[in-house]
Amino acid sequence: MRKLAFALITFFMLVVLIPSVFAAGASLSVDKKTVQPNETFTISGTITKDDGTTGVFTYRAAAVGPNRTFVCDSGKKETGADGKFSLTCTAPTREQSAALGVPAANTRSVIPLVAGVAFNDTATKLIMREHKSVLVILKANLTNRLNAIAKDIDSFVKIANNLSDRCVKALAIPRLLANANLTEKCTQIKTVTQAKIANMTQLKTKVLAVVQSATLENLQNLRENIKDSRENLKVYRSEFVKVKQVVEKVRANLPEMVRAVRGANK
Amino acid sequence: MMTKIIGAVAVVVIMGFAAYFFLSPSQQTPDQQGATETGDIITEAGNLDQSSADFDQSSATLQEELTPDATQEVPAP
Repeated sequence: MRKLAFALITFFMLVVLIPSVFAAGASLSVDKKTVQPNETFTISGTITKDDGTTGVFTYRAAAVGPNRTFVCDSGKKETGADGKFSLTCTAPTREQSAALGVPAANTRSVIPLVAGVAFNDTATKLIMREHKSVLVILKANLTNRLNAIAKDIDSFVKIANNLSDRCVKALAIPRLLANANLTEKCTQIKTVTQAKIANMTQLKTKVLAVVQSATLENLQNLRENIKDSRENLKVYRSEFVKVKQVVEKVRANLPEMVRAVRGANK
Repeated sequence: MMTKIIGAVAVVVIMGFAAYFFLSPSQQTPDQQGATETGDIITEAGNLDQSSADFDQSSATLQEELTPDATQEVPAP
């Protein structure tokens, strides 16, 4: 038993601890997080061993666009003895993006770039990578797209309010109010709609904030907000589809309901 | 002149009554009224479905454009 424990500890030290002593890492920075077409930005950093000592490392720095398009690429290079590297890139114009093979280059509003470095860790024989995000912003397209989203939100809010109002009106008719299913669905949709309208109105505020200031952080946050809103909207859509189904059923039964009430009143 | 004004007012009043009589929902039969209201709900639910689809499409494009794809990796030296 003691031998087994010793063997396991030795294995752990050899496989996990010892290589990590010699592993290397990189500090990486880009001087701009968002750029316009034709604007330059610089990727730079230092590769060091984990014990803090520097040395010569083989590396490749690049800014990679969608569909593995290379905006800039250092190719295989070696750092100086201090482990430092640097690469200056120029953000592509729309025409250059199209020539590179960026999807939908002519219509897109942003191009997300992965800017970073890959290097050989001689100790572990592994390829190590570090990267940062850089966004190429096509200002006019982005403004148009954000305004279009804001307009779609306005339209959505208006129609959602209409649906809610129609439900209220319908339930003011005693005969319809008497239908438990319709009452339940309409009451539900009123509550859910108000929450959804609040959510979409908040999203519009964020969209308009990005129109004013299109920073990397603002856009990344907006992307997450849009993702959440689209998920929530799926649920909401299924809710009002249910209302529609109930209403269709009630509508089909209306003449029968009226006859029944008239019969009861005779 | 006075006669003309009285005449015009009378015409407006009569038209108002006529509009009220013919267009007021209270003049609809109960099943007509129910059909109108439920029809409006169905129409608005359809409109909302279309509007949601429009928002989904426009926002999905931006979401997609902002998201790097799996191929975006700095290659090995």
